[in-house]
Amino acid sequence: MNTKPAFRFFFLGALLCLLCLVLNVSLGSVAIPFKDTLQILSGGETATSSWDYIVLNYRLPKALTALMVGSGLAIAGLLMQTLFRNPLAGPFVLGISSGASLGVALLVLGAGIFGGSIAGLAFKSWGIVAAASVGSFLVLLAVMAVSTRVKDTMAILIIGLMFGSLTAAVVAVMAYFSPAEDLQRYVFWSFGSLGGNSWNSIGILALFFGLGSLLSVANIKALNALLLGPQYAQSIGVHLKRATLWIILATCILAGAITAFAGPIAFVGLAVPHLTRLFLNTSDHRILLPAVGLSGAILMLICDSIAQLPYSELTLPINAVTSLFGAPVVIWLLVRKRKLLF
Amino acid sequence: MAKQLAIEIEDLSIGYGKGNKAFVVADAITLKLEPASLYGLIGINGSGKSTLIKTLSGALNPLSGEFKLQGEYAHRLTMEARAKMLSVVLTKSPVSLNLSCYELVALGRHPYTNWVGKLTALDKEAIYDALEKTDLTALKDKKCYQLSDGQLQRALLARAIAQDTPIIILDEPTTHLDLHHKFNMLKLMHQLAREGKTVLYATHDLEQALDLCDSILLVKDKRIASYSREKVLTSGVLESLFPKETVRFDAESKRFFLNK
Repeated sequence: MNTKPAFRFFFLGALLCLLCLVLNVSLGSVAIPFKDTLQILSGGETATSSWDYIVLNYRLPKALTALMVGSGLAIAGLLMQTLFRNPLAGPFVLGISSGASLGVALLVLGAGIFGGSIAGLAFKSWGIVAAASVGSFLVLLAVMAVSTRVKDTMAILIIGLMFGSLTAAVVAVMAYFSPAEDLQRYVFWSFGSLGGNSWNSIGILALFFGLGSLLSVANIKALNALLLGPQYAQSIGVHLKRATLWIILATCILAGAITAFAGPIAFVGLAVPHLTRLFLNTSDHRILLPAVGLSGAILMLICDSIAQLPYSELTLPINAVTSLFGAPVVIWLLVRKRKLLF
Repeated sequence: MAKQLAIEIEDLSIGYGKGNKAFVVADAITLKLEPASLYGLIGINGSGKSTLIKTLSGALNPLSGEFKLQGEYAHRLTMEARAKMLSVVLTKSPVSLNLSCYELVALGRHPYTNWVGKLTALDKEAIYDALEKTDLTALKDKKCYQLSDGQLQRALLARAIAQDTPIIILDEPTTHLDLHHKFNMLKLMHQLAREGKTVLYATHDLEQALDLCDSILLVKDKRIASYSREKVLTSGVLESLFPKETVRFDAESKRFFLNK
């Protein structure tokens, strides 16, 4: 049917993604000439060894993180919108980010309140990653347990939102009793951050990203069937429970790992699938899934390039940039199309 | 050898829940549905028409008893095998309206396609046939939200036709349609039955069902019984379907009248 516009989309998208990646790496607080950046990326060396170090060990990991974070969150958003048949669903409706937030809050704020042995952990970045992972994993287990019992996907959605309120309340109580510097650390984490990941962490993130994407691709057929609603999907041969579990698992792996490494990043998961649908005008997941992944990567690279405010010492919180970008997009979409469809 | 029955129900009990908390909607259902026939499923609101459809389509497990589809016990069939025997048209299902008419119909080929859902030439032929039959070829690239209620209903039937099953079950396919589209749907269902399919549809349009169906399945007082078109008129069951103070049935003209 409409393979031609899809083909053009993927071709231009891949080019744009590569361009954004190079651009993202070449920009930053230290001015490195574009030509030298290219040279470093292509394996060469430049006269200034500190430039090599910055590009290879700071900027490139950050750009790759941005790529995986954007792509993974966007795919997770698409999965949730299709599964819940709700255009407002995103990767965080399952309470994944709430779980991660609670984990980090318990570690960072709890260290100040309770003191003792966990205090040491809170000052190591991998401690935060571990806390976020454990938090989102526990919420994942709870949601999975609920989803095998509750038949209605809407109920799962609401339970996810309730988890969100609960954890927000616990975090608020803890924040109230916390000293200012702990609170600041927590707030910084909640701003989201793409930088500061070592190549080792990138490898772990890539593993989860690959696993989650693979699971999503394996469920393309079921996702397409789910566009008809659960009863129809069942009537054309989809194992409803099994498909639901796999899709939720894929979302949790993607969003959980990303939140653990980059913090709770807003709006990408919600806005990117809608943006992509606008360009491609299809609901077919065979086209939509890779397209959404690609768009998410591009968008995140652009957002990150803006966030690091090229040639200045300042960096904006990535979450602020995605929201500044995402909110107007969703509003514009609603006004233009008057309705969001999943 | 006797003709293969399309659906054979033996002492089936349908409803919701499990064990002693179960809510029985209808029980002791024993029915035989033949191929190449049009069946109208009638009964007042909440009598259990949808529950029967859900049970037959596999969305709901029977409380007890079993039934056969095309001679095979339904609960032993794989989901895929069942999907090749029985297709459904549901009116109340939240179908994504962002699908194009073609994409919607193409999803009917789901049981036949590979792991990612690639359409073969054979699949495409079936899709175009179904579009042609339902007079939707010109509308195939329209999005579902651009279709009228009647067109959307036809597209949903086209999807079931593309699924290429000997049995098609429809849940109130004529509700909310104007007379023209209503008759259009009925004509299509009648035609499908003449082509050899078993078509079962739930409806509140009793008068048209009496005109058109080969048999009527009547849901009443937790029982479901089958009547031939002639017998349903003479047996007196239609008179007792509604309270006598409000509705009167005239067997001669096959019409219901309001008792003023």
